[in-house]
Amino acid sequence: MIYTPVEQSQSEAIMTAIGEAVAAARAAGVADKPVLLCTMTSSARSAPLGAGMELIPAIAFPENAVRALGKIAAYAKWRREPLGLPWGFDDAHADEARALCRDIVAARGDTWLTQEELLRVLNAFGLPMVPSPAAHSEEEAAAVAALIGFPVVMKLIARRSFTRLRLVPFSLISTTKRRSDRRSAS
Amino acid sequence: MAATAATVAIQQGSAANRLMLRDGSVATVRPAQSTDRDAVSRFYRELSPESRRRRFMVSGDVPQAVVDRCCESSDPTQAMTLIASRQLPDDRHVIAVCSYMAVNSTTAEVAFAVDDRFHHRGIATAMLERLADIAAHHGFKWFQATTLYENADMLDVFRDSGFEVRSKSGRGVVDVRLSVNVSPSGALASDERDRLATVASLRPILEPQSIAVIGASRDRRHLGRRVLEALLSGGFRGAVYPVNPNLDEIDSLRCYRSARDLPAGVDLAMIVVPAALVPGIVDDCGHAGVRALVVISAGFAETGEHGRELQRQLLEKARAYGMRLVGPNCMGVINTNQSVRMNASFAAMPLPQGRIALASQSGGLGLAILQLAADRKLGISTFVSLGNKADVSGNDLLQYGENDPHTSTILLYLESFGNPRRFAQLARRISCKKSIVVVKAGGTRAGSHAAGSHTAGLAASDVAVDALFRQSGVIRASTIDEMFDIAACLDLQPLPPDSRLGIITNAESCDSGSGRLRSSRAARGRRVDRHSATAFGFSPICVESRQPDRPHRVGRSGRVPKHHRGGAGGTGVRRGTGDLHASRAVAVRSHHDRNR
Repeated sequence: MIYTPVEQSQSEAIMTAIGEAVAAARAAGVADKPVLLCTMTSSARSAPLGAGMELIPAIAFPENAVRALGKIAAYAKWRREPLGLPWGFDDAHADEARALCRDIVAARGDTWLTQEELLRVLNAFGLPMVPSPAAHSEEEAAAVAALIGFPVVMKLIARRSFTRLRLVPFSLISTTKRRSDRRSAS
Repeated sequence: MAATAATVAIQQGSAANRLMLRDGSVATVRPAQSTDRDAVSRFYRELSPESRRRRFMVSGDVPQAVVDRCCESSDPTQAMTLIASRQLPDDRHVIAVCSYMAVNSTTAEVAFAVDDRFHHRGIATAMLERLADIAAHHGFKWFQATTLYENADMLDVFRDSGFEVRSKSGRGVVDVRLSVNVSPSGALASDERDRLATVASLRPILEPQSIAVIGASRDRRHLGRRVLEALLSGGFRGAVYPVNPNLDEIDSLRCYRSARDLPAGVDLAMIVVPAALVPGIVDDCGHAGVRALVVISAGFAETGEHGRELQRQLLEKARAYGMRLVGPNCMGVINTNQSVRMNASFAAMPLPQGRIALASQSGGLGLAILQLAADRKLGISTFVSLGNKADVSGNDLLQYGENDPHTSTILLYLESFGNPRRFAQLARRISCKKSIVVVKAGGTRAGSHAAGSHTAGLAASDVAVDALFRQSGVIRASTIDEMFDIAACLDLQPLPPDSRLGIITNAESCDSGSGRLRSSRAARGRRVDRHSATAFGFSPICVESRQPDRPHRVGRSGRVPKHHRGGAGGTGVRRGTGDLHASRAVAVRSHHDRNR
C-alpha cells in the first residue's frame, strides 16, 4: 500500500481507514496475505500502523518494501520446497582436496588455484574431466584440436590471472580449423 | 570455476577443542602427550576402585607401561588418546581419558574412563564421537571394546553414541563392535546432543538467576556503573552483586571486594575492568563457581599481538573452569522476557518485548542497531553483542534462538564466520521453522579488512556467502535498514503464499495504460513496477484510478473492469491476485476521502 498524503489534515483519517479496511479484509478471511505500508510522510514513518489485531509494517519507500518482500517471497518459496536428503559419495575424497588447498594456502596465502591444482581438486571429488591439453602456439593449438576432433572449446590459461572458462566464438575455431585444413592440404 | 583457496580452507574455530557437556558447562579436549604422564597416572590412581575395575577389569594399580601407552598419540594409525580437562580445585585437570589402540589396520580397541564427579554429563559419548572421527580419518572401520556385563553405563554410551553396535556376550563380559562411520541416525543424535548442550550452556548467559557486575562503580561515566544501572532500572528478576575492591556498598546494594567472595554458584559475571586485570578476575570467578562470563572490557585481539595473547589466555582460563564466554570487547546481553527482564548492557534505552532475537558483532554498532530497532518499535526477545567472539558465536545463538519459544525471527549482523560449514548446517535446519536474516559485512575488500581487524576472522568471498545463504534458506539483507524492513514484515505479517504482488496507491505512480510514468514521485514507482519487482520475481499489478470521479472496482478475480484500465494496452494489470477485498475497500475509501 503506497499512500502519499496530499492534504496533511486528512492523513490521520485515511490511515485509520486503511487500518480498518485491512482489519475488515482479514475478518472476511484473507489471512495469508502480507500487507505493507509505504506512507511518504516524514513523521513516524517507521512506526507500524495498527489494524485490528495486527500491525502493518511501515516502510520508507516502495522500492525498499518490494525489495524486502521479494527476499521474503524467495525465502517462503525455499520453505515450501522439501529439504531433500544429503547424499554421500564413496569416491569423493574431500580430505585430499582439503589437504591440497591447505598446503596451497600455507604456501601462497589467499590465492587462485592454477589449472593443474584445480584439476587435482576436481579429481579428488571424482568429477570426470574432458581431456584438455595445453597448447602454446597457434600451430600447436590447431594440431591438438585436429587430434581431439571438432568442435573444440578454447580456454585461456594465463599465469597472472585466474583461469575462467571462455567460449571462443565458433568463427574463430572454424578459422583455425580452416587454417589447419589448408595447411594439411598444401 | 576456480575457487579461491581461502573459501575452501575452513578456519578451525575455537570450537575445535571445545567439549560441550550436558549440564551446559564446557571442557577442553586434546590429544594426550608424553608430558601428560603424571597427570594421567594420577587420574587413574584417583578413580574410584569401581571405575578402575570397569576401565581395566581389575581394581588394583594401573601399571606405568599402560599409562605410557595412553600418552602416546604421535601415530594415529597405531594409537590415539584424547584427554578432557578442566581446572579442578585440588590442582588436577584431567577429567576423562579416552583411547584407541590398533588391533589390525581396520579395527581398534577402544576404552575410556571419566572422573567419578563428572559422570552422567555426556563426556564419554562426546569423546567417543571425536575419537571415532579421528579413527575414521586414519583408515579404521571398527572400534571394538570388551566391557563388563554389569557396566550398563558404558553399554549406554555405546548405544547412545549413534554408532552401529553389534555385541555378543559371554563369561560376564560383552564384546561390543561399532562402526566408526556415523550412521544417519547417529548424525541426528549427535546434532541433538550438541543442540541441547549448546542451549544449556547459554542459559546462564541469557536466563541467569544471579549476575555479578565486576567493575561496578559509583562514577556515572564508568561503563561498569552504566551496566549496573541498566540491570537495576530494567527490573532484572534475579539477584545483582556489584564487585569493586574499594567499595562496601553501591546504591544500598552490598558491594563485594573480590569475585572470590561472591556467594557460590552465581550464574553470570559481567566483567567491566581494564583488559590486563581480566585473566585474574576469571580465576576469581572460577574459584567462586561462576557459570558464565560476559566480558565488556576492550583491549584484546582487536588491538594487536599483545591483545591476541591476552584473549587466548582469557579463553583458556574460561574453558578450564568450564565457563562459556561472550566477548570480549562487546556491549553486553539483553533478554526482555518477563520472567528474566535482563538488560546487562550499556544500552540504556528500554526495548519493547517481542519475538526478534538480535545479535551483532561490533560493540559500538550494536548500540546504534538497538536504537534503530527501538525507533521502529520492533519487539526484541534477546540481544547479544558478540564482540571478538572468543567463544560464543553466531552459530551458538542460532541454536539458542531455535530453542527459545519467545523467538520467531533471528537477526544476525556478522562481520566474519568462524565456521561457515557449521553455520550452513544449522541455518538449513532452523530456517525451516524460524526465519534468519543476516547482514554480512565485509562485502568489499576494504570492508573485509575492517572486519578482519575486528575479529581476526575469515572474511569469506562474497559470492560464496551468497551461495551459502541461498542454499540454507537465510535471507541476506544488504543494509541494517533493509534487515529491519524484512524483520518487520516477517514479525508482523504472514509469509506470502506466492510471489504475486498488488499495489494500491493514491499516488499517480503507475500509468496503467502504457507503462510510462508521469510525476517525479512516480519515478520511484517505476523502479518498483518495472525493475525491482520483476528483478525479484514479482509480477506486479497496479490498481489505480485515473478518473477522479469513478473509483475503480476490483472484483474477486482481481481484474479491473476494462473501462477502468486507463490507456490502450491495459498492461498495468498483468495478473489477478485472487481475492482483493482489502484493496477494494481501501481504494474506495481513500478515493472517497480525497474527493470529500
